[in-house]
Amino acid sequence: MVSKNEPRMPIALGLHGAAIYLFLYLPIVLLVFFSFNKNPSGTFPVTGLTLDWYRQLGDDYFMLTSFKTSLIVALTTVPIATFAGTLCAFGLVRTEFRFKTLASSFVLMPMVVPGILLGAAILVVLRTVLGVPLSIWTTVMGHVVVTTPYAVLAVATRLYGYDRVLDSAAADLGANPLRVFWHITLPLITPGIIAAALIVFTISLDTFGVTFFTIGSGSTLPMYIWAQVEMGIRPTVNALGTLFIVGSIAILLIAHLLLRK
Amino acid sequence: MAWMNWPNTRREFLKTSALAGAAAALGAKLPSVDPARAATLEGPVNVLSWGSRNFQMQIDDFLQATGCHVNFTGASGNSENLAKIKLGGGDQYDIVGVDALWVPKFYQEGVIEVFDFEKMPEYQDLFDEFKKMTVWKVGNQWMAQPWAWSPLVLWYNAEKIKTPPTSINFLFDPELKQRIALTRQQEDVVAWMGIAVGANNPYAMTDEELAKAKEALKRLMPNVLKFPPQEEELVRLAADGSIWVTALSAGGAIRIKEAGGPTMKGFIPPEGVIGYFDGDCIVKGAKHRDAALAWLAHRVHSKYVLPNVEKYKRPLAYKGPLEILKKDGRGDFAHTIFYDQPEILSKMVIIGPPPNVGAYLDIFNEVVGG
Amino acid sequence: MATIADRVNVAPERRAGIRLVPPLLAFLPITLIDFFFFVLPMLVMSIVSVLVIREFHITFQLTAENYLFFLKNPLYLKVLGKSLLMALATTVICIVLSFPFALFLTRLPRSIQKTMLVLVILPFWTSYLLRVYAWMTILGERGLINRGLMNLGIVESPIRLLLYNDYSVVLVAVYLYIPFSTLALYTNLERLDRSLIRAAMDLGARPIQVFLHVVLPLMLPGIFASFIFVFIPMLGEYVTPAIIGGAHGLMIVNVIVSQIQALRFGIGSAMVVVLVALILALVMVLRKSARLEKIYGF
Repeated sequence: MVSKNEPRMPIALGLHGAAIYLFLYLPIVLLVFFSFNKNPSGTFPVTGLTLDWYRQLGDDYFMLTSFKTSLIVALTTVPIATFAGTLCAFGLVRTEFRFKTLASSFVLMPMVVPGILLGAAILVVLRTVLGVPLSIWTTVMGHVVVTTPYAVLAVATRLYGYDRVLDSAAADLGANPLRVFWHITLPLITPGIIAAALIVFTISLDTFGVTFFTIGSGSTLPMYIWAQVEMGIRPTVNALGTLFIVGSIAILLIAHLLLRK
Repeated sequence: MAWMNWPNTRREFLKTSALAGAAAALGAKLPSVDPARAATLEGPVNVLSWGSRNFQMQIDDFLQATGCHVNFTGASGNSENLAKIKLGGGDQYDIVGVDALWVPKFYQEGVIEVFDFEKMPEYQDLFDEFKKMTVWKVGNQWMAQPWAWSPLVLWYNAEKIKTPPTSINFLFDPELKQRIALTRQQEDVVAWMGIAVGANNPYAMTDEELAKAKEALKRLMPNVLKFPPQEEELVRLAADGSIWVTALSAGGAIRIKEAGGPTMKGFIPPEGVIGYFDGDCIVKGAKHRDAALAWLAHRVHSKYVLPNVEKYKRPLAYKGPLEILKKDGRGDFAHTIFYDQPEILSKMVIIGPPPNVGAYLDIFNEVVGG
Repeated sequence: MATIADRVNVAPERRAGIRLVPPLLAFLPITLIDFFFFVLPMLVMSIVSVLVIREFHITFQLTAENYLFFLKNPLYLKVLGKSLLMALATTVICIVLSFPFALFLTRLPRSIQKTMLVLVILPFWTSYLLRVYAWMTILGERGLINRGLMNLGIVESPIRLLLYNDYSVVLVAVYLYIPFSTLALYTNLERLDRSLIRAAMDLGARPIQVFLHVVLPLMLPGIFASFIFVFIPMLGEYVTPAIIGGAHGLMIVNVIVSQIQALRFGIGSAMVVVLVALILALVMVLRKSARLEKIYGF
């Protein structure tokens, strides 16, 4: 499956890689930096260092509810989108049928419509046409629609990627389809499913467009941040962003250490 | 036995006892919320409004007094709010914050309903100019509870622009190349141009006037750095020197100074100035109407309005804070933010949805996109 | 051109008769959800786009006015053209920068590859808005770059050209979307059969020929995926151009959103339909040549 000798890393390539990481994290570093900046406009100049913004976060009832709502929506979206996406991936990769191109276009289509416009249209359908009340569930469904295409692609890659010979070998040895799936397929595509879950979670947490019109009276984190920035209270959201980044890096490192084989 | 009659949850207890206390503290019976019926005061109050109208302290106190939470969703724009409530239903929110002449529009669209503001204690504290206002009233019922008001003053960097301007046409001065920024409110931008070309009613221009305004906007474009979607951005841009002229509410200069910026001076063009007054409305079909009314009564208590003025540096529709400022010897702060000149209200061009809003939008899109 | 690998790798279920999931069942959940939350909304929008509608009052008269308004106006078409160009520029730059980066990732020790990959997505966990605003502190008049340049004496007054124009929008867009193109190209690269490259070189091809005739065609699925993940969302941007774009910072979705703000739902819907149709057409045309099946299996 893989060549015996690991290919080397030319210096130019290494520099490019480092440069891109720098590019990716420069705004983040600044964000963290400004979260300690006394200047209430949250930008240069640096007028002093303080932990005030972090303290203010703790009292912020709106932020906490928005965060909770965002988390609930994201955590509900992940299993649904990942499940639906995985099924679709199987349907697209593992089967042959006449309208497969059409089916694949249908599955990927939601990526094409800008979120905020889709959200408005969903609102009209739900309320004016169907008379369905808005709730966390309507938002979750909106998020599922928007994130499933990504899940499909993440799992499909993995599903198609591994050597099918393993499947037929197991079948030849007498395993029925279910056992093949459980013992061979599932473990091999698990990284793809995890990747799908991660991507869905990330996108759901940061989605503003679809959410605004479908959330009803609730508020999610992106909506909260938009409102805060509108009010000019940027440093507290800087603190929030910093906590997120630090938290997620911590989780990543722990996962890396635990999962190292 | 007495203890059998106690309310069986701590919440109920707080509501009944504290509400009576709150009513006493506010000096009057809360309109349409009888302390005896306090058990019907159910929350939470869902508010769709701008951040500058609510304080954490107000919300905490309200929670203490009534057991109701206030859920605040940041508003994004009058027309989005209108669309969201009209299409989504009145049960999403109890209160919506609306600007100026959008209020009658919301009322016409059946999205808000009137209430008896005159029975609320704070009504007495309103400036006369507001009491005389008819555009927000149906009979003696009010469509909105007034909150803040301000002219949109043209603030200019006094260190870079040495000669004080005398006419709105100073905006077209080539010296100001990429030194102006205005918020991305399409109607307001076009209305400013309407003022510059002498339109009769900048928010209801005729086709001829619109054509002239369009030409004016084209002439203005080289001087515009950007049209940020958020007003706070203007403060930041002025503070770091990227722009020298912008339109902000009364406390613009103070806010810019506090953001580490230069000294700004205010200019109110003789040709006319845009202004606003805003308020909060009760949504038609609101699920928690009683609690919403209680909240409206609660938040204009003098304890809260003064800090709000100090924080956002623009006048409110109530005389209370002005008196306190004057007594405290901060009369010139009050004067700088126009608090003691409510007569300006009648001279301002009040913002609102133009009847031909599409035409305004098209002008903006065509000039900006061109 | 079919390879030996293709023939061996044909669906085992065809050979061994395994079929776990009947196709209809596989698509059932997503079809159900998409029907109510995607198909119906799109249908409603399409219907609204051909009706006479004044603010919230909808009549059932058919009209082409909503479309003609948009299509007859050269300025709207100009904005659309500009948006397509900016999206294309962003995509190309993303692909060009991501390709070596993805290569770099594949050359890292296996044990840290996945972690490094996740580190690429991690910035997404701070809010979109914050990351965009952070760029203003870098590019602004008193931002990081200008301060650095002035402190070092390289320039006397701040460079105003860094921000508030179409180029800064593309720069920030590249920043926002490069993780996606990296992921797409990385997936493709991982799957690349290096023996093909070695074979080409053994046969005497120069590196540039190897790149153009062997590597590039094999990377088509990843490039196509990058296109989907970058071009399409970038075309749907309206927040970044409003914040980072200058006075003329207007992209097509800004225009559409402003129609909704003006309560011109008919015109807004028509614009959405045209935009979606355009993108779909583009995707279908490109898909033929992308040979997605090599990497994604469909």
